[in-house]
Amino acid sequence: MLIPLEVAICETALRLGRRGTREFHGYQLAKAVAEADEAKLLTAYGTLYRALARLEGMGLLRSRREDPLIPAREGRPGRRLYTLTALGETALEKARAEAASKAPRRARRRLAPA
Amino acid sequence: MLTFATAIVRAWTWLYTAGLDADPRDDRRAQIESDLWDQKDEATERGVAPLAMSAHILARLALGIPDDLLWRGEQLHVATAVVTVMLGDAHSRPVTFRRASGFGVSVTVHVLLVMLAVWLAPRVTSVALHGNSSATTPTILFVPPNAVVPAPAVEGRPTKALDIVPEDNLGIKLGESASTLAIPGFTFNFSKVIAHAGSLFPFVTGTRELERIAATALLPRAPTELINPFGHRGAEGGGLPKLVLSGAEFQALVDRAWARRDRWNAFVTLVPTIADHNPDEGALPDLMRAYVEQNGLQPYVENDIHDPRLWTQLGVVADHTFFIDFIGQYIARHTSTKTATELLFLLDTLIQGSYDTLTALLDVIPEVDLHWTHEANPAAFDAIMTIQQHYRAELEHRNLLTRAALRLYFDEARISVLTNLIETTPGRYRENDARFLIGSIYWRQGREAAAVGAWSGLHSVPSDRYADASAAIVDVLRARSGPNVDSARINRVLDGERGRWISFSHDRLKQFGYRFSTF
Repeated sequence: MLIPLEVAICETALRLGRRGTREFHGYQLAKAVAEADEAKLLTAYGTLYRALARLEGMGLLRSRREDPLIPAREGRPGRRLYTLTALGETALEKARAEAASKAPRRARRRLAPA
Repeated sequence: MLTFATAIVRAWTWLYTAGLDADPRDDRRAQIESDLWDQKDEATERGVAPLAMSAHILARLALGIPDDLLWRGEQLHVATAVVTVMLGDAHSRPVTFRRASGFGVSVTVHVLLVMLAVWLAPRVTSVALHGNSSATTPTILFVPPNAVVPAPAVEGRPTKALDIVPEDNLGIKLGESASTLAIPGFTFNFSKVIAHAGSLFPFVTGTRELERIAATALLPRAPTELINPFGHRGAEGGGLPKLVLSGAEFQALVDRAWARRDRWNAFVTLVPTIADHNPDEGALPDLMRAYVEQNGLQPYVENDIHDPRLWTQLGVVADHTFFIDFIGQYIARHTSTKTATELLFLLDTLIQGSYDTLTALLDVIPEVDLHWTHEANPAAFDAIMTIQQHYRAELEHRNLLTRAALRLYFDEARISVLTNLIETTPGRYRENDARFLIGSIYWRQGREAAAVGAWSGLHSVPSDRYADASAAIVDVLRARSGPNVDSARINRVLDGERGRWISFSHDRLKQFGYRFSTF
């Protein structure tokens, strides 16, 4: 069973993929997760990269080091690029279904004007 | 400070990865280095203050230390197992020892970093992600005067707005029988949402009328005696009779124009009264003000399921183009009048509602959140998917890729409208209220100097909607001894104003048999 951060990472990976960004790096992911949650702080370094390692270990993400010529040309450190796997998408669907069955009446209770 | 923060992160990363196998060690160090570089690069580009950036970096470090330690433990566990299998039990002791000593050092550093981050974070984290707003100023929907199209000829009453809004259904086709959604406790005809699916968010996609409204700010300002010889008002409004109503008649009109869902159809009941009466004298400006204050922004809260609130809000914004066309046409005919000023306040409320509905649409995960819609009407579910994808693409096209950028964009639209209002309102009518709102927007953005600048023009007008809050803000500004204002007091004033809105809204909804969570 996935913990909330892992679900958030898979959700974000899926959302990035739908926008055409199939591969993403750690900072990019942290930013997208924070934006989705309207959080002020990005996920902590240790929490983020441990979760990514865990998801990769479960086969839900796969990763590769980017071509070293690219960072060299852009004058920045090299990145590890992650992709959501088919297994990851399936796990996410299961997590969603589980959340829906456990809390189909979950409410955000956010008061907003319209 | 920034150099210090990044050095701390590097040192800590070096420490907790020391002694590990080369692969996980180097990989983790490289990932942190890359993350730091990206975070710093973006912060520099957005003009985030180094102190804010440093606090953010240290907070990320401190909050992640427990996971760093657990991750190290996991790596050592793997390493120990491998060593034990390959070389025998004796060779694993140094690894265990390193784990123990590393843990002791880590705890010490952790405590120090948490203390530092806790000290710094409240001072700066509010700007750490968002940066200086000027760095990401969006393209605003209002256009310069030479791009403004001529006003269409309007004959008679401006109810023509209903006729000139074209349908834009994004290619979504529904049969008449398929346009009703019935889920427990909520029945909704969503044909209006589909018919105007492509124009649900006109403040993003733009309309001709919005451009025309923006241009009114460039017209000559009305003199204080409310006679504008240069504007349209003399010709269009001067000959109209004053609206005269008893207190009961006045409130009955406002109440009749109230609606939870179909705002436009309810508002149309006021249109003949608006069109046939003097825009400056008599009760018409007060009537419009009462409409905005009593019937305008309403709170929506989800109760048990997401579907009703989202559909209702989409239904509300489906009317926005009607309102905008009406406001644009009215202002073109009655520029610099009190009623035009009230309609600009109405436009401001539409922008706020539009932002909230757009974010609700973007946030929804249809497969999870719209379970009831999917079950009850798959065509409605598919329509939401299409609409959501369409507006995601629209926002990407406009480079509004982050929530912060979107918020800023809508804030700028509000500021444009309210600035327009200040430029055109006759005799400084309700100028204070517009200044109060502009300052509040800047304050929420963390732009203290801009907020103080907007509020510094406030003066006491007891009849203003925000008179009490404005007076309190003026007191705070007067009481400051240096450049800094008492933020806590300002926040209390603004929170109090929001509380008043919630309290009033509760009573108003109750009057019509609703609650925040019923639609």
